[in-house]
Amino acid sequence: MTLSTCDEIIELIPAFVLGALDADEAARVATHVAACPRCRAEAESFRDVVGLLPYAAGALEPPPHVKRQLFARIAAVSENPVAPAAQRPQRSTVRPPVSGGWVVPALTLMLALIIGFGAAMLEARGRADQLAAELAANRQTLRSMEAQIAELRQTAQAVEAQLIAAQRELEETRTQLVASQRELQEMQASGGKDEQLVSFIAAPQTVSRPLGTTERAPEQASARMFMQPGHNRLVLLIYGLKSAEPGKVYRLWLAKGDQAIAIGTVTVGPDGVAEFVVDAPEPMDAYDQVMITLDEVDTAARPSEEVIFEANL
Amino acid sequence: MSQIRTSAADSSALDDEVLISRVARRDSSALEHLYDRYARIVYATALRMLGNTELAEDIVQETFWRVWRRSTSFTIGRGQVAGWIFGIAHNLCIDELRRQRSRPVTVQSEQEEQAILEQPDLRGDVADAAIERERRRIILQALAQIPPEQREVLELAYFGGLSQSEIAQRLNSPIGTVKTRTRLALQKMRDLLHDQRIGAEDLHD
Repeated sequence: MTLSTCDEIIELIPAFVLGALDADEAARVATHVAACPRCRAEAESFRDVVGLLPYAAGALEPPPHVKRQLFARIAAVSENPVAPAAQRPQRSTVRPPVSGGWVVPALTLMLALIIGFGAAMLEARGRADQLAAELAANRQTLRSMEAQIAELRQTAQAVEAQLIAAQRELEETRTQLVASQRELQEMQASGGKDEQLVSFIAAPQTVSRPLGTTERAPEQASARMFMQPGHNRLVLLIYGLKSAEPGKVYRLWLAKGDQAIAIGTVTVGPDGVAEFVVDAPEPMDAYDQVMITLDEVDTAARPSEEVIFEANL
Repeated sequence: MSQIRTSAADSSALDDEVLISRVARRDSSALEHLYDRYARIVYATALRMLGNTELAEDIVQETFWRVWRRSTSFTIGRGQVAGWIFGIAHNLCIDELRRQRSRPVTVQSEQEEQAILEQPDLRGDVADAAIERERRRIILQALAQIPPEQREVLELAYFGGLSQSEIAQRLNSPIGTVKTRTRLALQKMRDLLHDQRIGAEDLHD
């Protein structure tokens, strides 16, 4: 290799500090710079620029696992320390130079030193290569483990999603079941009520009488009551009545002398029919009068003026 | 970059050189400080050079691993720790790029550059964040002041990892032109930073 002149080298230094020289040119500049203070100063004058260039790329936080893995790696090595090549003790075969003007022994020693150094270098490099290989293998393992974990995590997520869907389905089914049960109970209850109603009305001791309509009752409206002497039960069947407007109710009153007692409210279905079964506080014989009024929802103290049906007992 | 510190940096709790000597004494918490301080820059640089997050993550890990292993070879007083770390990362990226040379290298436009610049800094260390911002401001300002054709060769060389002859080929320019542009670009940048440093020192004095 011919010795490079400073002028030649200085031209190459900007590309050198940017890492933009081919390997052989870079080696030439590095050799020269190591020996030449002027060119070294020139190279170092670009240190700030090159040191700041990375900031032009911006700043991005690496994902947290990068840091975690790095420090796990460091912790693993600290537990199994490997002496760095630079700090390894010199080989014991190398002895300090002996005095004397012997050229041959000196040369031999030089050779031994060179060979020893070379061997140490080779050993260090071999160890470094081995470590690098282990590292590469470990990294590969880590990658595949990470891939497996990702896959497992995905499977777990899928299973979890299925589980959630299944639970939701179960919940829906349960809700439906509860609704069905309630419906069944209602049907049974209403079936029982109808049966009760029919047997009460059909009983031989049952007395029936119509209720009179007032001018406030719709034209088609009619009502009939059923009761048994000495019994508290009263059954009312009403036809042709409109549903009460919002805020109002049809209320059944039983009167005894001056005193009127609100017995309950009568709900009229969309077909204008109302069936009402009630057990009065006293046997029906105790009362003088029955009436149905259209009342405000919250005035149950005394009957309003709006009497729809009435009958004296 | 010790010269381009802001006054906030001077009050920063731990100097880079203190940290690196602690790293050399196998203090992993010191390495963690350096990681928190510079991993963001290394990652952004590697991402820009390699265009692949997984490779960039590997570069970050390998860089700081080497910092840990080679901290004893860092000579205090003969260089900046940050520049040394970035140099390790840059060399790793260049090696990677040479391995996969077929990948096309793109020069980012200024708009694209702006797009990745502003990642919110979630670190606790206010002084570190301020230094990082200040350094970025300085380099972007200097880059904006050199002619576009010089900036292009500078970026292709540093972020593209291309040699002078490869840049010449890519730009269809004579190699002499590329060399001249690289030299002029770097000299101009050096002078701009020098002027700025004088200015900053005047301001602080």
